[in-house]
Amino acid sequence: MSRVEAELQESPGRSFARVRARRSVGLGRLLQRSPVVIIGGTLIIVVVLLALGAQIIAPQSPVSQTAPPLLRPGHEHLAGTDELGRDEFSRLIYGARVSLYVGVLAVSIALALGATSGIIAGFYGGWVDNILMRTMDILFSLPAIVLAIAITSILKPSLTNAMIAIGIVYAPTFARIARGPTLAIVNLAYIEAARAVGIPNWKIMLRHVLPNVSAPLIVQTTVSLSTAILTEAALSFLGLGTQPPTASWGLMLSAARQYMLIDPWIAVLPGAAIALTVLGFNLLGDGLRDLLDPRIRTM
Amino acid sequence: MLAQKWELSNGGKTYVFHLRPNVKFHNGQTMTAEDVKYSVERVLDPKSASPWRSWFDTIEEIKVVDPLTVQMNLNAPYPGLLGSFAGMRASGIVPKGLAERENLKIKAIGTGPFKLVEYVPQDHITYARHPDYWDQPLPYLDGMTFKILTEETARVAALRAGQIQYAYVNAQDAQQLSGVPGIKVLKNLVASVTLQYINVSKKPLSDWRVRKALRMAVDTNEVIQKAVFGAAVPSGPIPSGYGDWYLDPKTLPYVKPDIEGAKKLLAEAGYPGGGFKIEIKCSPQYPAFVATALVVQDSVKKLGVDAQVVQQEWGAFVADNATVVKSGGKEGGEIFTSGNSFRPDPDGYIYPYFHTRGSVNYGQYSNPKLDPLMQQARSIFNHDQRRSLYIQIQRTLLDESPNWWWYVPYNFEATSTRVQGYSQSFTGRRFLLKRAWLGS
Amino acid sequence: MRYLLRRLLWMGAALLGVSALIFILVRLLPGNIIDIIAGTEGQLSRSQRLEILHSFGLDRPWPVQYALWVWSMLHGNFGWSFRTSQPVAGLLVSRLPTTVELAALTVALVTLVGLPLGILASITRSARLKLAVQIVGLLGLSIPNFWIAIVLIIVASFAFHWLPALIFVPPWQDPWVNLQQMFLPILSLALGLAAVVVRMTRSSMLEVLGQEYVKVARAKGLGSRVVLLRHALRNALIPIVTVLGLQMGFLLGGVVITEQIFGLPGLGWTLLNGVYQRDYPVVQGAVMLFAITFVVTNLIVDLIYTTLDPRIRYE
Repeated sequence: MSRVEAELQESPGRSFARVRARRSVGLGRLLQRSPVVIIGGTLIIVVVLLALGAQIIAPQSPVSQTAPPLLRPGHEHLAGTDELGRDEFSRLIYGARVSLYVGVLAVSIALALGATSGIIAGFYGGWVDNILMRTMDILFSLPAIVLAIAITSILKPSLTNAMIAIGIVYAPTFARIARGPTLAIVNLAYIEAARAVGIPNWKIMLRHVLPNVSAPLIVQTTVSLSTAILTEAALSFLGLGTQPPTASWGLMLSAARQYMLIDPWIAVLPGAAIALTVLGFNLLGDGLRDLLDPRIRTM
Repeated sequence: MLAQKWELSNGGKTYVFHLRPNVKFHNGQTMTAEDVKYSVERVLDPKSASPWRSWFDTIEEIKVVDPLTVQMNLNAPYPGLLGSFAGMRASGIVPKGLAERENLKIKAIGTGPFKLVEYVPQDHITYARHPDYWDQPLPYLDGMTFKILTEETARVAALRAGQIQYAYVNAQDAQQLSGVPGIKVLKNLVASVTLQYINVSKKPLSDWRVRKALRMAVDTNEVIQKAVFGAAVPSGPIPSGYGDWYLDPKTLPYVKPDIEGAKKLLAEAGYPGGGFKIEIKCSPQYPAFVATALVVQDSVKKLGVDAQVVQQEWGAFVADNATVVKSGGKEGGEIFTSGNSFRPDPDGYIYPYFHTRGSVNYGQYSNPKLDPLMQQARSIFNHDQRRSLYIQIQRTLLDESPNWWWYVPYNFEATSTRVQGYSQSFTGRRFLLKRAWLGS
Repeated sequence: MRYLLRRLLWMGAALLGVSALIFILVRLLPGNIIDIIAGTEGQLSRSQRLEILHSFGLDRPWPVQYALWVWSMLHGNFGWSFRTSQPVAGLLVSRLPTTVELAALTVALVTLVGLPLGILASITRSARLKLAVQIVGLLGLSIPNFWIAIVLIIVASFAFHWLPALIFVPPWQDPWVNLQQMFLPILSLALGLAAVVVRMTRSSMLEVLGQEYVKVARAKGLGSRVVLLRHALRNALIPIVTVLGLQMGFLLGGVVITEQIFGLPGLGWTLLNGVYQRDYPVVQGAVMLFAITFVVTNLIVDLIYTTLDPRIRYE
């Protein structure tokens, strides 16, 4: 990363040190100021509840072909049936599970790989920094979708492997975001002091660096959660993501392509589900960014 | 046809072709026997690595008798040879020496009604009328451009917007298009049977009763409804509609499911209540195959069998497919959902797969009673005798179920109503476009 | 100057890394060109297979293949496609302009629409308007872009009975037809990207507007519009430009599926097809081209910084 980017990232670090005292002001007040967080948060909570309670909420099995295909929404099938005669409503609910699984797994990997690389790179500097960031650059310059396709084709195509692929693809972004604030504070006097006193490096990273990096990372996490869901949809579109007959919104969208002109219902619903979930994460991310970044005065 | 007449002799081992005189290539050259010899030898040459060489490998020697006469000597009588030439895979006649002068992957010179003007891979192919085509006054069209659109919706949209006058569509869109003014939809059966190849070398699929029982549990009509929107005909090993070699669909077993019978058979085989797992592979490039696999999966649940559907990207699918054949079934997979498309001779659907020494035998299937029948059928010329042999072979194969055969789908081609004179072919190829013209 | 040299050196190292990565990745994909040629219906004997491997140089050990490839790349030779025997360099160069045009026009559209919306969202006092802009902007980002593409095709053809000519026409041949062909694809890509730009513009403007020197300029009596344009926007552009640069990755990725759906003969579709067909030279060449583009774009972005903010200097 260039010096420029480092300088750009510098300011959050410094002002954070000063602002931290104010952060303990009530959560309630924060929420009041940001309708975006409320809307986004609500959407997400709904999706999470659907995912966790799928077995209780869903009226039927999402994978059994128990009814005639392409039924209109009706009494027994609230959202009709899909092209193979499976209950669309239940599939939508179980789809929430896949979306969350996708998001959480992919982003966890990206965080673990990326954020740690970024912090280590920023902390140690020198050749460690160069090697780690060059590796991240290399990963970054491969078109994400191609990398995902390659990884999922090499490992057996499965949802888990697709998520590993996406996690690897997202890691560089997290690395960059983590590195900036790390660079900013690593030279500060109190860090030097801590080292001089003999506190081990990993403790310093944990206790001092991490809090400064957490805000932008949290924001990026929500963003990446949303793009992970979209990428799963794209991979399922290509046949490399979720494996049938598992219900995932991306796979449902892809399978519905052939029937778009005959029964748009089975295409619209999963698309709407994806859009609302992703929107939820995006709104949450935006709202959090506004709240946590004190440089932005909401006017 | 480039050969006006031909003779068989020597017990079916020698063919003499008399060529039509004055057939002009696209570059103006006149076709002679030398060109034919060159073209066929090129296919037989192992260096050209033609995947269709096996269709012609009974040819041992090609002799030029005179500029318009070619003699081919076979090492064994093979009634399918004429079909191999008619199958339009690797049977193009090109000027002698062409492969050494041009890159034949993107250029071509032949004797057909249209000459290749431009081929931009993944984008489009442009043809122009060959003014010296031997079958005057054809073709009527001045030219054609095929735009490669992999997205079905885009094809249908382009047809409706009038940007294209012909498109290959699926059953769902065909239904949708049949009411639209200005567009007509043609349908026919094409020699292409959707099936599942089964690796018969490992338990429990090595037991014919298990295979048969699993097949019995599936409703063929349900498969047809869900995989191709109802637009197909049930089929046996030789695709329904192929000459008169196929089994009448009304007489096919398994069209209606028989769960009770299946359970009994499974118990007889030593698996009462199922209790085992199988794996069915398919590729998302062919959504109909995926749907077929999913219906099978859902149906065999009723027998207590846990079928897992594994979707593989096409390249990986083909690689595993090849591995099964190469390793004699030891590795690669258990069940592969795919299709057999046009073969020049009914033998192509039978011998390579099910003869003990067949080249594409999945897991060393071997039925010593069928082997001599297959051998005989591929070497005699009497049509009726061959037919009764193939009927018998097919019935046995259906009973033992080394493959599961499902259906022959309808082939839908939608054209603008301006396109006249075009008719479909059982091969699925569009060569009858040479008879088409554009009205107003 | 020294900065430039050092930067170029690191770029070279990164590119070398990319080359090694894609070389290995593509050979790890199950199946190879032989399987694609034979398919499930053709048959190839063992000697035929060996023949094919040999003709493509695939029977040599990997390090040898890699060294030969890198060596010839440095001389401008990107090899020949397995499928068509065409020179890869020529193939990629003929496809590159389409993708570049797609990406450039998308960025232009997105800037034209997103920038004003973002500025609007940052200066408006109406909380509702702010929320509306945010939600609408983010909605575009929330829908899978292959989905938008298909819906656009259907809407255009069914509702408007319109679809552009199918055979791709480069802009220098017929700019009007070309623009028509690009219209729907750009729209489907822009919807996603616009949201990012709107958000970035808004937060960046907000940050800058809150700064001291803007207040000073206002106090000095400069009209607020002048203040906005001159000072705030110019400085706000830095992170926006950063984001656009980073979004190159998104664009180049989104372009792949968009090109396939709309049938545009661009680099993305060529790459995707190459992966499906295990056409190693095409995949390797296309990825290298993407990587070079990405790395060069980053450099340009960094250099643009200097014009935007004279404080920024490289040592």
